Amino acid sequence: MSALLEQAFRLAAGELGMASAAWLFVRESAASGGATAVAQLRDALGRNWPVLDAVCAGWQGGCQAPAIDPQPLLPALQGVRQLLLVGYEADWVDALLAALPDPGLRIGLVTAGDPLADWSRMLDNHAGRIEAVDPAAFQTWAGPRSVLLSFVYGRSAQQLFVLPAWLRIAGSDVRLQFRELLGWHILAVPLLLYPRWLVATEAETFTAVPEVAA
Amino acid sequence: MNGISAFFALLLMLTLVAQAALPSHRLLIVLSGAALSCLGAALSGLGGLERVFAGVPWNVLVILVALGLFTRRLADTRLFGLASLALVRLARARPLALLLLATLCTYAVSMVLNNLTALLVILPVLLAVFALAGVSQRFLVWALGLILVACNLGGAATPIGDFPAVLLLGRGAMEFADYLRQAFPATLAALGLLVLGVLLLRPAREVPASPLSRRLTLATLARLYRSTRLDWGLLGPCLLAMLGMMAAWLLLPPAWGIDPALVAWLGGGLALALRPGEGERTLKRSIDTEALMFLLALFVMVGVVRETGLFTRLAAGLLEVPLPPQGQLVLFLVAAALLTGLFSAGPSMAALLEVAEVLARQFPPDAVYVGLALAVCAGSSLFLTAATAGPLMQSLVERAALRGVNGSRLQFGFREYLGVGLLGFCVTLAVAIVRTLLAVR
Repeated sequence: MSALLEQAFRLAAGELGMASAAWLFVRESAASGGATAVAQLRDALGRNWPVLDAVCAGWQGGCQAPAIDPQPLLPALQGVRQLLLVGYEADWVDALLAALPDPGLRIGLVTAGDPLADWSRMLDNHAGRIEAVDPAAFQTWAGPRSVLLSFVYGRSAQQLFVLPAWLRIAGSDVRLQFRELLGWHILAVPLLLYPRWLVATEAETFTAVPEVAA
Repeated sequence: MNGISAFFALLLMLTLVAQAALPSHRLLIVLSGAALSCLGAALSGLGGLERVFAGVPWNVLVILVALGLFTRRLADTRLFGLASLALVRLARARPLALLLLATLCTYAVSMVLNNLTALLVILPVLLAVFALAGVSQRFLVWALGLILVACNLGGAATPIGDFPAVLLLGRGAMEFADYLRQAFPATLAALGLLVLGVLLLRPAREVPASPLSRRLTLATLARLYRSTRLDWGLLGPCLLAMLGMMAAWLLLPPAWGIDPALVAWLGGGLALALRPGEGERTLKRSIDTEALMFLLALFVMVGVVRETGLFTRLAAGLLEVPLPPQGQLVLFLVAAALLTGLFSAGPSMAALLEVAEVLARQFPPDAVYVGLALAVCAGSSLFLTAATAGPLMQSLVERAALRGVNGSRLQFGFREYLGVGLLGFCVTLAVAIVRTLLAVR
């Protein structure tokens, strides 16, 4: 049964993002069977999905909803004409789009991630507001009023845990081509297990990582 | 059979066998076969390229291209993804209910869209549900197999659903309303029998189900489509264009000379012109060149064989088989179904229609043509490779990388499909034979 649950989580994580999918699964499990169901979910999937494990642990510790606040990002996006997302977290992207002051801001999403993800289905949720950007062509979005934004899932000393796509995009030359390389720390709970599916990178690969509210 | 007939027939057969054996090179193979046929026709005095091309039913190709583009624009409205989501909600993610609703939905969609598009718009949601809810190998095979056969039956139900019927319409063999009136009930009966047969086999008996997995399935799907909205600005005019095409096909008197292909061209053109920028992009990117070139090559090869008079002689030979007339007709239908199973619907229909036209002088023409379309539909369901939708479904399932209860990868290929295909073949062919015999009685 856990193989089927794992498959379901992978599909959800591939298209919603690991944190968004984790909160969804925890919410539904809690609504279905309370704390026992959340503990069972953590036992079944936590080891393979550290973000889910962290969210389960957070829920068990009293953090029962994600902290989604795009406000700390907004100053860095003032006057920006192009925003390119590297990675996707549905709950956070929806909140960011709702908070953006400039409706004319051009937004792109680099289509690098789980090969099972259906990118058109993901983008259909944004009614043309977000454009798909091929990883090989992301530099066509570069410019003095362009910003790269990715999601940060945790930190350890000087390292941040990010999606593998970030390492492929954020080469040393790229720093000079965009105004900002923003990291959005989205997990208010610490990662307790080895962050499988994520990679560690130096904090300096970002120009700013606004902290998430605890 | 004289030497020239034998040469071109052999060339056609070899080309068909080669393209079936080497599907990754099928376009190159059929185009080479067509080029050799043209060369042979020129050298043997049958006629030059101009004469061969004059025999190509261009209006059939126009219908296929126009309806393909129209379908693309209709899919761009997100109608089908949202409709599939509504089905899953209606079935409350229960496997058997989902199987039944998906089958009926696929049948209905295939009646107006080509089979490839019907699968492309329905399968992503269905496979997502299978991944979220979890299914067994047995359920996967019966569910997808049934959907594939429903796709073929829906395509045969209307004159615009799939190539064989489009060919009948485009060549003027049958009127739109006559075909619809006769083929629709037969395909619906075949679908009903097939669904009944599948239900008796209890395909969902090994599917694990828990309230939590159903809850997670529905909640995740709701999030995957959380803000997806219908594009009413495109959908409304597309539906109007479709109604207009239907009305024109059904009501316009043939004496006006407005060919069904012209109606499709105007309707497809209208759907593209609604938003010129997107329409132009669709026109440049979405024409199925592979299918178009494949059919053109087949028409050329079949046309050259027709010029030798072989099909007329084959039909005459069939009429000399020592069987009562009804028996000869049944023999023709069985042969048509088996040939389609081996060579797929396009080549079989293109060649067999030539024979059917001769048989139509002996029997009521509509009975022969509808019987042939149903027999070709039966053959399309026999093997996974018999219809183009089969390999597409296989590749979509492979891409979805579904796993079973024990974590093993679920398979949907030629071998797994065979049982469903055989059932679909037998049921559809039986309906085709019974219907044809009743019609010629």
